[in-house]
Amino acid sequence: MTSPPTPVTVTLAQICDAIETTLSTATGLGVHQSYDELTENIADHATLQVYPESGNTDAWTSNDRTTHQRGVAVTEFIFHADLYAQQRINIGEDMAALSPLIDAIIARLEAQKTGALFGLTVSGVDVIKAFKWSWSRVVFEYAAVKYMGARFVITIRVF
Amino acid sequence: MTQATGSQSFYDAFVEIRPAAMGIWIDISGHGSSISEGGGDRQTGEAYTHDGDTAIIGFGKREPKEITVRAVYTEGASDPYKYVLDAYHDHTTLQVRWSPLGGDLNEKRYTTDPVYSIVTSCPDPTGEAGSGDPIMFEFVVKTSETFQDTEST
Repeated sequence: MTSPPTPVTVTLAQICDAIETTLSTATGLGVHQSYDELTENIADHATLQVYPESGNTDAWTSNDRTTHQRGVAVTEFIFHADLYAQQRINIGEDMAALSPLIDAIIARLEAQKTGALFGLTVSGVDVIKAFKWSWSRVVFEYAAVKYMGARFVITIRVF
Repeated sequence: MTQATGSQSFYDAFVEIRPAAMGIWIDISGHGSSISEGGGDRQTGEAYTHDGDTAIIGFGKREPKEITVRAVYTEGASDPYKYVLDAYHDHTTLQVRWSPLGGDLNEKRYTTDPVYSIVTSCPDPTGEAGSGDPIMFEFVVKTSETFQDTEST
């Protein structure tokens, strides 16, 4: 019997922490929080919060597997990385604060080229096989305060 | 007629190959993603008479079949791609056997001919950067016929 390819288990926590660690070095970022570090208010700017949002299996087929007997399943995880640039004051100043931060996050994402994406290796296996991302500007309301920010939606593929 | 109750999707199929060089059946279910079959048509002969309006048709021989297996590409020494490529290069037989319902006791299985099962195609793995899907490969086994029997273990 041949073993199914890369039988490795990865957790949401591992992926989330890997994304947060990778993006944490973005220029201009003051605070970065993974899923278990989220605070009930935004204490400092700029803040990045990374957390799992949803998932989907199998991303490629109409059921939960790519191969017979589920040797391989292409699992998709969607994470949000919410970027809080500053509290809403003036639209021009808010945008001026936000734009370079978005550029900095994009630069970190674009730096993921080959090998262990987001630096994540589990049992010697590069578990993140592919990813894609998008972003949109958002005026967040957090603890009854409005912030100018952006939401990065990062889709991770694991198999 | 009442609705069928014994149907099942193909997701749990049990797929094996038997390279002549190994002499044993090797489970590749965890790599395999699809099996398709072509050919096997029975040849016929036909003739028309002055009197009749339709043809007289006779039975001929059955044409070979082509079994196409699609599987995940990996590079281990005991992985399907290695076995298939070796059989392709070495001109040795490689049988395919599959059980659509999963290969439990008394379930049907289909096996290519033990003598005439030849890998006719095993292209190198190819792909595109824009895909996040696993790398796949596909091979074709040409066989004189397939046999249906029953899983006994």
